[in-house]
Amino acid sequence: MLRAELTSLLQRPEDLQFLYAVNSAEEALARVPLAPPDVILMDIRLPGMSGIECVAELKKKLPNLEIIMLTIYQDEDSIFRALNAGASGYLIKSSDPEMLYGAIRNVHSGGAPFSSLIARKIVTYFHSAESKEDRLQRNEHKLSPREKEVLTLMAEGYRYKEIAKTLGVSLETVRSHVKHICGKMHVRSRAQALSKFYS
Amino acid sequence: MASILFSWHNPQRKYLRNISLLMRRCLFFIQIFYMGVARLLATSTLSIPSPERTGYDRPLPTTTISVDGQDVKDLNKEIRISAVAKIIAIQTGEFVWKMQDPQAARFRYMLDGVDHEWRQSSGDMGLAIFFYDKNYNVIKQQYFTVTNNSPHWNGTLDPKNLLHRTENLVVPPGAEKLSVIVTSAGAPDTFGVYVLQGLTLQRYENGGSATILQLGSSIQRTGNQLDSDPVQWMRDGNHPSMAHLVHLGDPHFGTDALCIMDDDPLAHAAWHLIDKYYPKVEPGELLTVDWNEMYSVGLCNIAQPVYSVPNPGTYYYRVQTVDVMGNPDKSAEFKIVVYNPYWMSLWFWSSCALAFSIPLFFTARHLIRMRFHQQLLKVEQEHMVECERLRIARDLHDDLGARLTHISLVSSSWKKRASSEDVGETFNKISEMTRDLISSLYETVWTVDPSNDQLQSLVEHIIQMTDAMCGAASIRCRIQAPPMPSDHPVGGSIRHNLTLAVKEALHNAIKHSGGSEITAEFDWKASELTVVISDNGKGFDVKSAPAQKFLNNIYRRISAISGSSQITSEIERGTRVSITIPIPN
Repeated sequence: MLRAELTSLLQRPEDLQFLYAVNSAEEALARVPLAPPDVILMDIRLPGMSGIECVAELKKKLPNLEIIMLTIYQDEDSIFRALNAGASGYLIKSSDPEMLYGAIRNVHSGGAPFSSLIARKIVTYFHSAESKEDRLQRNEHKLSPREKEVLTLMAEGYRYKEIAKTLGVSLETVRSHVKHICGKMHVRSRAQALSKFYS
Repeated sequence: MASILFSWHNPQRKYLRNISLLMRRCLFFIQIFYMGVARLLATSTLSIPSPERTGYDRPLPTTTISVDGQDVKDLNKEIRISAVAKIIAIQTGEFVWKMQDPQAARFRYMLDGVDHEWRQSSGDMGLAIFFYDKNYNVIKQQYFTVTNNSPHWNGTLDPKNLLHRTENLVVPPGAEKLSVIVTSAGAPDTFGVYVLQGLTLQRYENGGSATILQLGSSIQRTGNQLDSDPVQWMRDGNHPSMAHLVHLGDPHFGTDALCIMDDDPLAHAAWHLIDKYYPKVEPGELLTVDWNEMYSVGLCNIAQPVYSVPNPGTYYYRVQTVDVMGNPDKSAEFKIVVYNPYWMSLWFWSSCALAFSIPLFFTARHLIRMRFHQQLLKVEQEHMVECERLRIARDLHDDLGARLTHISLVSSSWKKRASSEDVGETFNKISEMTRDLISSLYETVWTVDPSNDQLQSLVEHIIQMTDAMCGAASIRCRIQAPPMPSDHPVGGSIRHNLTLAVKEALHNAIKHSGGSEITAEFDWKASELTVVISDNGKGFDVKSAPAQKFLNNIYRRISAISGSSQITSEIERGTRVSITIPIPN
C-alpha cells in the first residue's frame, strides 16, 4: 500500500524516472545488479535481511550506487549504521514529497543529507578510530584537516550554506567534502569488517 | 631340738627319750628365766613401757561413696563415673557421738590424682599457761597448742625429733600465780600424742633473768619406781590414764618427759602442776617460756570430702588408719575411673561434626544455588517484561507509524492535486499533524527502549530533537556538547521528563522568540547534567500569565526528577532556559 503511494509520488516529477520496486532485500540483491538504477530508495526495516545489510551487500557489488534509507522515525542509530554501511543519505517517509524529490536530486548530484547528530557521530567515530588503530591507518582512511573542520561545524548544527560562508568556500565544495567524508567512512567500515574477518 | 633327738634309731630310744625330756625341761626353765630377766630389765630400764603402738585393732573406718547423690553399691569393683557427673561425695568414718563403742580410729585419706598429700582432720593438743588470782580463780588462759605432725616426726618417741620453742608472756593484772598445763582438751575427738620435755619459765628483772619454774631431764618422783607419780605434776581430764610420764632415748642417758597419748575419741587427759607448786608472779612482769615438744595430733572423726568429678582418668581413694603415734596401719583403696561417655570423645564429635557438616554443606550449596537461580529467573523475567513492553510499544508504534505515514503521504500527494488553496492547505495541515504524531510516537518508543538508558544516548537524543525542530522551523541552531562518559545509566523517568522539558523550552523559543538562532549547550560536571537552551529573540515578561504557565511546566517536570531550573529573559535580549539535573551512578 505504501509502496503504491510512493510509486505514484515518484512517477510525478519529470526529471525522475521510476524504474522498479521490489519487495525484499533478497529480491533487490538478485535484480539490482542486472539493471542498476542511479538512486535506490530503501526501507531500513525489511522482511528477511535488514535494509542495512542489503546496502552493504549492494555497495560491494556496485560501489557507485546511491542509496537513500527510508525510515518512519528519525532513528539516528539506524541511520548512522546505514551510512556506515554505505548509504548516501536518509529520509523520513512521511516527509513532504518535495523533500523526497530534493533528496533524490541531492544525492544524485553528489550531496549527502546529514543532521548535526550524524555529523557528531561521525566525529566520534573517526576520533575513536584514530586513537585505536594508528598503526593500521593509511592516509585514505584519515580525515583531512578541512574535512575535520567541516564535520565539526556540522556537528555544531551549521547547515551547508552556513559552513560554506564560515569557511569561505562554495556550497559545492562543502558538499564534496561531505561526500568524501562519507566515502572514507564506508571504506573504513569495510576495512574494519575485513580486518575482523581476517583476525 | 627335741624332734631331732626323736629321729634317732630305736635301740637307743628309751635312753634318748629320757635325755630329750630332760633337755626340754631345761629349755623351759631357761625360757622362763630369760623372760623374767627380760621383764626385770624392762622394768628397770624402761619407764611405763614405751607406749605401745595402740590402734592395732582399730578397724578401718567404713567408706561410702556417692556420685551425684547416688550411692555406689559395690565398692569392691572399679567405680566407673561418667565425666558428665558433677560431685563425688565420700564419707569415711562415723560421727563420734554415734559410736556406741568408741573403737573408732584416727585416719587419713587422699584422692590420689586430685589431692597432693594426705589429708586428715586435726585436733589440737599442747601446752597452756593459766594465770590465777589469790583465790585460784582463772584470770587468763594462754594456749600454745599444736596440730598435725611436728616436723621430722617419725612415729616414735625419739628425742632427736624434739622441737625447741620459745614464747613470751606478760602477766595480766590481778594475777598472783600461774600454772602450766599439758592437755589434749581441745575437741574430744582429738586423737594423737604430745610430748613435753624440758620446760623453763623465766622472768626478766634487773637486767638479768630469774628462773621461776624448771622441768628438767629428770623429773622428781614420789617413789623409787619409774612408774611412780611425779611430785609436782598431777594427771587430770576425764581419762587421766592417757597422761604418761615417759623416758626418752637411752635408759641411762636419756631424758624424762610428760606425754599425753589420747586415743579416746570421747575423752581427754592433761598434766598440770599441783597448786602448791604454782610459781608466784607479779602483774606486768615479762615472762619467757622455753620448752621442747614433739607431736602427732589428729582427729578421730568422720571425714566427708566432696570432690567435683575430675578430668577423665584413673584415681585411687585411699584411706589409712593412723595410730596414736601417727604411724599408718591398715589401709584401703578404692579405684575410681572417670571416663568420657562416648558422646564426649573426640572421634564421636568429629565424626558427628563431619556427618552433620556434609549434608549442611550440600544443603547450603543447594539453597545458594536455588537463590541464585531464583534471582537469575527474576532478572530474566524482568528483562523479558521489559523486552515485551518494548516489543509491544514498537509493534504498536510501527503499525501506527506506518499507517500515519501512509496518511501523510496520501494527503501530501493530494495537496498537489487540490482544486483550491484552502483544500491544499488542509491537506498540508493533515500531513503536518500526522508527522507530529509520528515523532511523538517515536518519543514514546525511545523512552521505553532499555537500550537507550545511557547518558550518551540521552544527550544525542536531545541534540537530534533540537536539530530537527530547528530545521523544521528553519531557524539556525548551534550545538555545544562535550563528549559524555560512556556507561552511565539514566533512569526512564529522567529521560522522559528532561526530554519533554527541553522540548517545551525549544518550542517556546521557536514559536515565541522570533529569533534567528537557538543554542543548545550541554555540560556534565559532578554527576550533574546541565542543558541550556538560549535564543536571541525578543524575550518575554516573566510575570505575564503565559510566561508563568511556561515557567511552571518546566519547573514541575524538572523538580519531579530532583533537578533545578532557571529561566531568565530580558526584553529584546533573548531568553535563557537552564536546567540542571543530578544523575547519580
